[in-house]
Amino acid sequence: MNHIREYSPYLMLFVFASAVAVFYSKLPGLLAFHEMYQFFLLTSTYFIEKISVAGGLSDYIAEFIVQFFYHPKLGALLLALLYTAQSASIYILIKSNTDEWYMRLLKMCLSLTPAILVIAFMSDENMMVSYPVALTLALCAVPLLKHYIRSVVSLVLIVAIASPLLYMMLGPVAIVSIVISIATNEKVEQKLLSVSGFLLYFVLLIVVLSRTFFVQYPSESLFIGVGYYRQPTSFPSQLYFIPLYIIAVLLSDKLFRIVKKTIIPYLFVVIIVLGTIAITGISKTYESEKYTAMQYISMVRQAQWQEIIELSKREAPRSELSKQCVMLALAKCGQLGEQMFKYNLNRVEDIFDTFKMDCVSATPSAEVAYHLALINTCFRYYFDSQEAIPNGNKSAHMTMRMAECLMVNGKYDAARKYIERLKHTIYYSDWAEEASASLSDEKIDINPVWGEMRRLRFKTENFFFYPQLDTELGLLAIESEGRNTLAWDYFCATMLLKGDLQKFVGIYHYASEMFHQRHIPLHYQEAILLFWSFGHSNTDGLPYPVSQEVVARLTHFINKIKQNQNYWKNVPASYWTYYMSIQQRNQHQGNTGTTPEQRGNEREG
Amino acid sequence: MKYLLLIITIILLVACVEHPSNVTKVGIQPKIYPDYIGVTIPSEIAPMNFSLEEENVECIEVTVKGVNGGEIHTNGEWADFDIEDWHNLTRQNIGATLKFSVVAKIEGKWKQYDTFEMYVSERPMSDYGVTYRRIAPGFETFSNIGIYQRCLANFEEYAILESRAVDGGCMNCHYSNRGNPDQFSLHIRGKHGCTILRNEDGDKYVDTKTKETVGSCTYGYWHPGGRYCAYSLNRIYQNFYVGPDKIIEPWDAVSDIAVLDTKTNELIMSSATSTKDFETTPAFSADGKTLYFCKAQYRDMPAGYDKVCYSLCSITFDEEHGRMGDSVSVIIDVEKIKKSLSLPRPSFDGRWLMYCLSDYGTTPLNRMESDLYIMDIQTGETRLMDEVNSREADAYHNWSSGANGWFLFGSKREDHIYSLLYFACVDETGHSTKPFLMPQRNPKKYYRDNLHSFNAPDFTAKKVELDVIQTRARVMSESREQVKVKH
Repeated sequence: MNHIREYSPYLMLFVFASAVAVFYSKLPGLLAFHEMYQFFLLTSTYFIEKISVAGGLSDYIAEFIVQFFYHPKLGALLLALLYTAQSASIYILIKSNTDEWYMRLLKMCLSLTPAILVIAFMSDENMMVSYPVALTLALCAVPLLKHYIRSVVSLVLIVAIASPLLYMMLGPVAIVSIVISIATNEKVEQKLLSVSGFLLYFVLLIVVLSRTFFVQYPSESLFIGVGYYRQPTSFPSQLYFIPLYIIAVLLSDKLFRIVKKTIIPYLFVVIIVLGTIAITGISKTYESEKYTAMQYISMVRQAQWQEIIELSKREAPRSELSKQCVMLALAKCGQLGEQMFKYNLNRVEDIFDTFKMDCVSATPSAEVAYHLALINTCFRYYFDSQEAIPNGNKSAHMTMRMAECLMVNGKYDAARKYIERLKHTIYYSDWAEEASASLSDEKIDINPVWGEMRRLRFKTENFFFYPQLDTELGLLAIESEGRNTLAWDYFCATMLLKGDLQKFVGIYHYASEMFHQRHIPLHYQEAILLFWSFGHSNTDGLPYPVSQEVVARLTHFINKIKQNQNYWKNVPASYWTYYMSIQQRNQHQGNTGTTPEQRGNEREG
Repeated sequence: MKYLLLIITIILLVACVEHPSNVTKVGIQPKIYPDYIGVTIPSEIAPMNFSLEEENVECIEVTVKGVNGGEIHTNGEWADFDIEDWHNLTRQNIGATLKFSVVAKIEGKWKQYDTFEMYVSERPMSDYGVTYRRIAPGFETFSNIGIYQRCLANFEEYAILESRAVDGGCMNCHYSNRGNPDQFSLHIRGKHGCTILRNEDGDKYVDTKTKETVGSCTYGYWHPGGRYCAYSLNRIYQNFYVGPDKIIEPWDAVSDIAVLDTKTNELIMSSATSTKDFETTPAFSADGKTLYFCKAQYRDMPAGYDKVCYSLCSITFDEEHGRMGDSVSVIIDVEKIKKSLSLPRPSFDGRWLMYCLSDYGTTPLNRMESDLYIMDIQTGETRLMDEVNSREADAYHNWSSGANGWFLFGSKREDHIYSLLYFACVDETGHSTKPFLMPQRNPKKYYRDNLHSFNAPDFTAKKVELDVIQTRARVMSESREQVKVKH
């Protein structure tokens, strides 16, 4: 029993670490998201580039860690270690050798709270791992600084030298190291004066840096942190709340002195209640469609088609991002025409979206374009997505895809540039070596992936015009002379989503043989029958082998609709329910056309 | 800070210093990157450092001897000459030849290559350096773009203004008046959009959008007098190709030419340059009396995008009264040869006019077939600059401010995607020397790692000074002087 008491703080830390690891292992999409928006290079140039920015060392270490998020379970373990190290650093600073076991346990509970808060705030996917890394390193620096601060002279020297060094390495959270080193140092007598002096010096230091080395950076970012948040012009409050809270925890020593043994049980009850609330709260902050979308996207990157379909049965896709991933998985498994309308589709953007000016939205569309062999569109979506990463990072995954596009198009010199960069990574270097050995027409032509893409891509030079996506896909499918079956599926799906039955039936009649489509997928049957029903009272003379079961269902559906216009809203999803929904929507909105000038993307000259 | 760290690292790194032994003569010239063999350089240029193209080079030793005397050596992973020694050698050999002798250790064996030459021009390049926009050659989004300047006598590059300084706002071409950075124009786009105009009165932040004009001021060119700046007013759209060779097609829905009086903030318009047809990319002649521009017949866009071919036109300009003429002269009617002319750039001595020809359109750097041409202004004779052009796009040329025949241009010849900077010199007959890529300390590594195009380059006679903090404050303040049309 005594042993358990003795080691209870460490046991608690272990339980915490395990919980964090399990927690993050349930969020593989989030970890893959972080990994996707960086391009960590194992080169001295990259190291110099990174550490030459304020807070650069923590950015560099964070990126080093995040690259392992490629394997989400390893990423979860590393994050658990990071938060454990952060909590342990606080615990080491506030524990005392004379503490009773319950006091140490209490202090360990308190030490965990900053990490729990950081984990809660990290539910914002734009919070960078650099932030907890910087906090942890700042805490680790405290014992070292305290060791050397022994007199007024050493205090002044340490503050003068350590402040710029720590600021350059860790960014503004360096303030935690020095404030704590002064405020908890028994050898410093005038703590308030010393801390005030340091703060003044620190502010002046940042002002000087902002006017010398970092003139191109807005001074706000130098005060709040350049690399802590992905959006360089946003400064969320948690960025300065957490350091203040950590300082408060580390200065709470006097509070522990007034804790009486008799109230300890009550304190633990309070801790358990607060802990439960915190865990519930954190779970809530991570319950959002965006994490589902991130998971779908990461699975698309790994080509886990069956797994995506399985996931979609448990967690129905709600956003356009998720729906595009599920539709791609269905298409890759030959199920698009059979199942797509069982998901709550609303428009063409649910299977292939136009480019939006951010780094996230285009990822599923770019992957769809990649698999369709819409090479230039994939390249453009990924190039612009990469350029839209707000902190200016590049993306290894996007670069890999862009290199593939250039290889398929035979632009080997440009592809080589990207491939050479990828060779300096851990997880993409094998791919880069393989690609590097394939940079010639002969080798690409016989490559099972790139060679096939080259055969399936567009050979003619036309504009890609998103409002005419169905036409683009149709041309792509037909130019491939029946090989690009995915383009054919997407072509049909796009026409059905637009509700253009006449075009669908006309083209299907003409082109389905080209794609060797002997069995007519369920949704196509539904669409064909619906169109046939507009001009016929029965299926006599219908030139397609449709299932009698589908005919019977449509007859029933039409009869019910005649009785109740809203009947379609309460029956299992089919193409007919979708068609009714767009008819209703068109009645409410009216169709909008495009003017000639809208047939391009406006840009500022 | 970055450079400080770089220098420390370089000092800490153990350099390759091996000396050749058991050398075998291979009887051929080395293949070097960049290809500097046989180029003509100005004596003021930074050391023409190079590497061997081969990847498995362990060490190279290079000896450079001047025909007029002088000799320098370098030994290492790549040829990295000392800047001072290099300039001593080039100054000593103006108008003469430098002979490069290369010995390389490849897979443990030393190889002696045949010597190659560079020629040091008698024509000085008097400029301090060049300015350019470094930008990823994307489509609709751009991150961390900036206007930079590079000293041509060494390898130092300075940011004039980066997009992060103005909250990520896109920024466009920096136009100086014949390389004089005391007169320039710089567009900021986006939420805090404006045009920064600098002249003898200081810096102005102007809004060039008016209700009476078709678009904001876009492509600019200063009048030699410094009071006026000609602009095209464009509304630009772009489309994207699906095929293997073409990428992007920017096109103008409408475009006109106007001249901005920077004293009064008035846009001087002319019915001859504000027509339904497309008028764009103006440039004043050396004496300022003629305004060149490109003009194409109106087409319904984008359907007619591949039929828009621009001719070279001109209109007179009266500096005294601030007035354009009433009629347009067609100098090169490219409709006849079914090509499109763009970016006319007269040399500052009034002798030459360099321009691009491509199959159609107005953005030659997006057109693989774009080539540079030169016209003798006195005789009207033109010729394709075969000695300069490549199979990829060559465009965005500008003349050195010293009117000495030196010019620069952008080219995608390296990889089809990224536009890099090249320099060459035109002689009295209009023929050019072999172009050379802008030197870098370690060019192979620099250009391999580079993920930017060097966009809209120009010479600058001296270093551009811009107070970034003040500029940021004024851009963010959104206080603008409004441009109005002169009636």
